[in-house]
Amino acid sequence: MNIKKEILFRVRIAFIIIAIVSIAIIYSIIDLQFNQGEYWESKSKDINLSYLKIKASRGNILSDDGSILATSLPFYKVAFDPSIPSEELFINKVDSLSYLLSTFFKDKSKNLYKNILENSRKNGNRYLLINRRKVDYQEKKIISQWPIFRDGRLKGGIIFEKIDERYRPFSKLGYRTIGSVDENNRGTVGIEYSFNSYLTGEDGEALHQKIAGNYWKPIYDGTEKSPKNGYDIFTTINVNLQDITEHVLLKGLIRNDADYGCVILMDVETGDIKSISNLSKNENGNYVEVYNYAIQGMHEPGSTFKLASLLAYLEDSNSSIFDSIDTGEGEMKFYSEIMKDHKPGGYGKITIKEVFENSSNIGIAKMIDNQFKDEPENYLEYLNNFGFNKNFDFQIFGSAIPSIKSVNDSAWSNLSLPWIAHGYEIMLTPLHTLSFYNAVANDGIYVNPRIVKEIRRANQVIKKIDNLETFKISSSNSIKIATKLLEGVVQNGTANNINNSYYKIAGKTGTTKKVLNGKYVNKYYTSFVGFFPSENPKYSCIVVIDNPKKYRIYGSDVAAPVFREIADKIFLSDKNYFKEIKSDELSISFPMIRSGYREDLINISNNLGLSNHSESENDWVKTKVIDNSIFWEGINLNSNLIPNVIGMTLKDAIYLLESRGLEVSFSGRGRVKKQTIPPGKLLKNYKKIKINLG
Amino acid sequence: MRKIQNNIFSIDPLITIIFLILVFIGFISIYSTQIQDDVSFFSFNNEAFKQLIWIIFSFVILISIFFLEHRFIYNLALPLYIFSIFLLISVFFVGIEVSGSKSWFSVFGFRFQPSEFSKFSTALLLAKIFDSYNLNLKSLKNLIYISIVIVLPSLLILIQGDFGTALVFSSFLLVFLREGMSFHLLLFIVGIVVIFLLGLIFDPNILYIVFSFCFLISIGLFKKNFRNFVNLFIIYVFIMIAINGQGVILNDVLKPYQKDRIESLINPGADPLGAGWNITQSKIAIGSGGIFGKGFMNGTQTRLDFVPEQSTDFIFSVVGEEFGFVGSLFLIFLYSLLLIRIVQLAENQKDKFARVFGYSIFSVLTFHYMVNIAMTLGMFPVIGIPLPFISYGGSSLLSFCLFLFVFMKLNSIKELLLSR
Repeated sequence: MNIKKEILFRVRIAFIIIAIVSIAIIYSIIDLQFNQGEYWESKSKDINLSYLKIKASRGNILSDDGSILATSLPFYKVAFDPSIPSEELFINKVDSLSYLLSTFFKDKSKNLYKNILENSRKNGNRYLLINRRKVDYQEKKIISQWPIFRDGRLKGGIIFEKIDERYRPFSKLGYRTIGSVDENNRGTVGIEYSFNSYLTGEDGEALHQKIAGNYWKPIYDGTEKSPKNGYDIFTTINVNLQDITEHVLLKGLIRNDADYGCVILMDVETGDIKSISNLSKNENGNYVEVYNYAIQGMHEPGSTFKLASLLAYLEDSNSSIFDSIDTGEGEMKFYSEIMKDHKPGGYGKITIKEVFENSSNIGIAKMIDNQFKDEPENYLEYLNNFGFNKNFDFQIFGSAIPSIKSVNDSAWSNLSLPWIAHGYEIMLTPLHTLSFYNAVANDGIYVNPRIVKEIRRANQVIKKIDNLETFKISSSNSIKIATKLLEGVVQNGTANNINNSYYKIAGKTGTTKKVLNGKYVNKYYTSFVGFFPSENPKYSCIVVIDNPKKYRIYGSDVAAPVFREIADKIFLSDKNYFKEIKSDELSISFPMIRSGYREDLINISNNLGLSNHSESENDWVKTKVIDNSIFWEGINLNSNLIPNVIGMTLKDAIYLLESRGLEVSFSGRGRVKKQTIPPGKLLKNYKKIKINLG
Repeated sequence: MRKIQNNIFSIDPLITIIFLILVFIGFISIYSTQIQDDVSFFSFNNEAFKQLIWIIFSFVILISIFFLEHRFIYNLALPLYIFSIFLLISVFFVGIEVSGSKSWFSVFGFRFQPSEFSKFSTALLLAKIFDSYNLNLKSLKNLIYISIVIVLPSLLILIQGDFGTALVFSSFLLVFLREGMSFHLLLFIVGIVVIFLLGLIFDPNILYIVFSFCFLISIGLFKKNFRNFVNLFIIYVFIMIAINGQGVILNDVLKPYQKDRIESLINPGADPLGAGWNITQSKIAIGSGGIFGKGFMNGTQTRLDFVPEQSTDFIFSVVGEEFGFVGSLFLIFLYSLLLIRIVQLAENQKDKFARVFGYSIFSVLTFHYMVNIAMTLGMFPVIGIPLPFISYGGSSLLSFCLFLFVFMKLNSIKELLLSR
């Protein structure tokens, strides 16, 4: 039958086509599993998977009012894989690229850059660091538009490596105290070092898969550990006070051409260190902060120590400060050594008050020697009670412990007592001296100094450092007398040059001869320590200036004026400062944040004193304003979908989108107003997204 | 008259065995893809568990088919077709969107795709039409009429955004071919498709020149026959449209990701993270399988969820990775045996209804099986159609079971039908 034959023919043709396709499929499987099998197998084994670290952001260091003293910002290392661009692209564009590199980095000529690029391409180099300088985000955007680079990582070979860099908004302010970090973001000195473990946080990790071109693609399989960002360190440092002390100290150092100087300003009641400045002259003659003299620099304190001797004397004897002491004619032999007073010819017979106000070495040494020579350990016991033996469990590592001889030491002699009495043969740090004076200012109650008051994670307090451990150093009566005497120093004594009629300063000068090669030489270590206003002390402060080289050499001439200037500025700015804040407060309006990272938003709101409540534990939230408070509503982020970034800040939006592997470009400023791919779309279908801000 | 119509043991044993093995392979492969997710087997989050429920449900349907009066099947053809068209339309209003296609109903957490069912109902109506009217497919008019039955559902599915399933309907051409459609027409259609594909690879301008040149030579050859000249001219116009048309289809009909998939097939290395990702990962899975595979539940690609949509469209990569070359070949062998057996049975039918229906299932199964495996191997663009009986998904499993078992029911009563 013809029709049947034709049908059979067609069916066979159809079968042949199917057979051909089947054979092609089988061939393809054979090809894939046998011919290319090794290749694909190696691909599947090719350390395909690895848990890669996701760096945690280092915590911030903040001042007493929450201003940021140190924070981490993203910077980028610019590197290049010269083997990637095609021959044509490279040859055509290497000139213009070299030109742009040369004009941007300004460190090498265009031709030199071109040579470097060409040579490393010739040598098959896969990684060329373009420049040691790291670029910020805006610069990165510019660079990624340059010829060759604009073809991206896979075709253009540009490699941007993100690195968090420590940024100090107040630049060198309190540099040594706040500290610094090394290349690995580990603290090296200061608070950065002491609190490194808190600041570091915990790196997270996520499963990544290696794919062609040494590129790692994150796999969101639920096993990832999100990084825990470092804690924030809230210090007691006040930016304004720090600024004042640093400037005044610098002026004082320049005026006296001194080697170095330091200032510590302390809140009397709490022991909070409001500012701490250390400046020393470098080889260029500039003053920079390299060593924390304030807490590490041990020195014989000199006359400032006389307060301790006086207090011990008052406590131990029944004498009145109006009792007389014969200080002789300016020179007196104690055992084998001659002690001198500053005033040529001496002070003669004067009261204890005058001994102190005029800072008579002989007077104070005689008092102490007479009172304690039979039982010198009693005197040392007083010093212990004054806190001089204290090994501060202090918050900056490396704070020194005073060295005070004990009676049993081989170095102890008859001379020790009179010499310690006026501040020699012992080594103290400025902080120890100040803490003692602070206790006197604080009605005899000694508080440990502190520089870090809280460790927080956003608004959650992790650790609070309280100054609960206080003790009384002496009777209130003695303290009152001591305060009077310290006021007298300024009113009638060695520091009367800083007396003023607006507020009272209580303090003591100190001038120590420096020891060089085991001999006292005519170089001086000057200091002034005290508190103000003395009727109701708010701040205590110590100023140390080392080796002044102009015609002034005494504490009264060198350190005291610095103290006065600091006190003046604080006294003046104190009132004005609070006035200003009040008027500022009225103009603050609610920040236009509609969504973002929960902790950041809570942090901001708390700092601005806005009532806010969280309804969600999600990291990402949007705002809902109910009456006068803000509610944070969680945003559910499905890692497979495009997130909604509308209303977020640029930082948050970029983080969120880039962490999902999208390439982000943006325009405008402000908050995100539009995103080109609507939220909820499947992530894997897109590679680039554009966001408009406004 | 022999009373055989309700005898369940009269079904074809070979097809039944193959069917059971395929469903089993499918189940264990899906089970393997789910194992890393750390969810209990008896959970509605576990696709293997859901598939098991669908399998049991399918078996219930299968058994009930055998107790159906066969006339019922015959009479149900048109109502079922209309019902399926109704479902395809209503999905626009009450459906949900999954992976870019709005083609799903969701009932109690179970999702159902009416487009899968419409393949079955279309085949049924085709069979009925061929059976009722003695259509001569040599006539272009008849061909166009009958094509409407196919084009209508496939157009609706295309509008839903499911390009792959819409394309499945083109496999009914094979049925037409069997039932007498002009072979030249098939060649013409295949030719246009080839030219369309050429347009993806080559510059259209080159194709214009080449085909215009061929046209001019042909005119020279046929200059004496005016009718041939007209035919040639029509063909030429179609070719020009086809060359141009791919631009229209690429830009207007296909979604961006479908476009990317076609482009990634032509140049898979261009974008290893994007559109080429599925294919590359699937190739790694299959290629690293070797002769005997990595063993059940030992596939690294599978375990780590590298191959996207692995339980559905890329299920063959699980078989390739875990059971290797032997496993893949076994699966292909099973399919081939199944298809040959279906054609054999179809040709044995004395009744046109059963034959056309048999050829329909053959065509649709062939298309699904070949295109699915070919796309898993990177030989065909990823159009997202499931591997019958194996892939996860209730709608697809159910509609193929209906397909297969209605045919087996018809086969089991062929003597009876003959006496109709």
